[in-house]
Amino acid sequence: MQSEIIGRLQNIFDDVFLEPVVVTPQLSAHEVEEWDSLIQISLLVSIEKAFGIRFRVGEVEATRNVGELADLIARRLENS
Amino acid sequence: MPYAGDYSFADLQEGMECEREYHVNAAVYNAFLETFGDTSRIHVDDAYAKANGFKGRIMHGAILNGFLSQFIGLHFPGPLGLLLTCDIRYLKPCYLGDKLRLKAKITQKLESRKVVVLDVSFYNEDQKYVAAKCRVKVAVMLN
Repeated sequence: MQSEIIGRLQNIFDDVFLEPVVVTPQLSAHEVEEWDSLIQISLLVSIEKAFGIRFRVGEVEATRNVGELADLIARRLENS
Repeated sequence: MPYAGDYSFADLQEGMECEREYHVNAAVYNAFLETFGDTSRIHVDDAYAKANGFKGRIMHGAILNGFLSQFIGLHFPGPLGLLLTCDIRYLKPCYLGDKLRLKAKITQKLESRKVVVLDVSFYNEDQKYVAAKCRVKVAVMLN
């Protein structure tokens, strides 16, 4: 499930970032110079739309890397 | 009420729409020229613009960004709105004196960040076409 979600996240990252970013479970925001608060909003807008989910306040901020974000998406998909 | 729009994040719902008319008049055009100094021939020379296939000098696309800023800040959502991003596409030209109808629709709410996504179009009522489309993200502040 996580790898499938990360594959879909790669497409979203390709759309949002100007520079190519290789999405891995270990990837975190501080490793990508372009990944600032505005980019984070664009990512969340695209992720919620693509997966048809809604994040709750604070839960994305609690994730430490893309793998944990993918797990959070999986949980939201199970609850939807 | 000092503002036409005064929406909080909770007031805003997906599907909500708002529209407003704007006028690309001489005062706006001249102020833009004076302020930013973009006197490129296509924007100031009727003969040159006509030779390039237009009806006359074409207005700066960025004038529409100014209208959008006013719309977001005073009308929809209003004073709590803070424009974050604007992906605008200038599809067809606007000419001096044209009236534009800005139409906006909320297509997405990002609850976790108190951000709304708006799809916006500028319909040129004089030329009878959509002059520009844009997608904007607006943060809605608490107070």
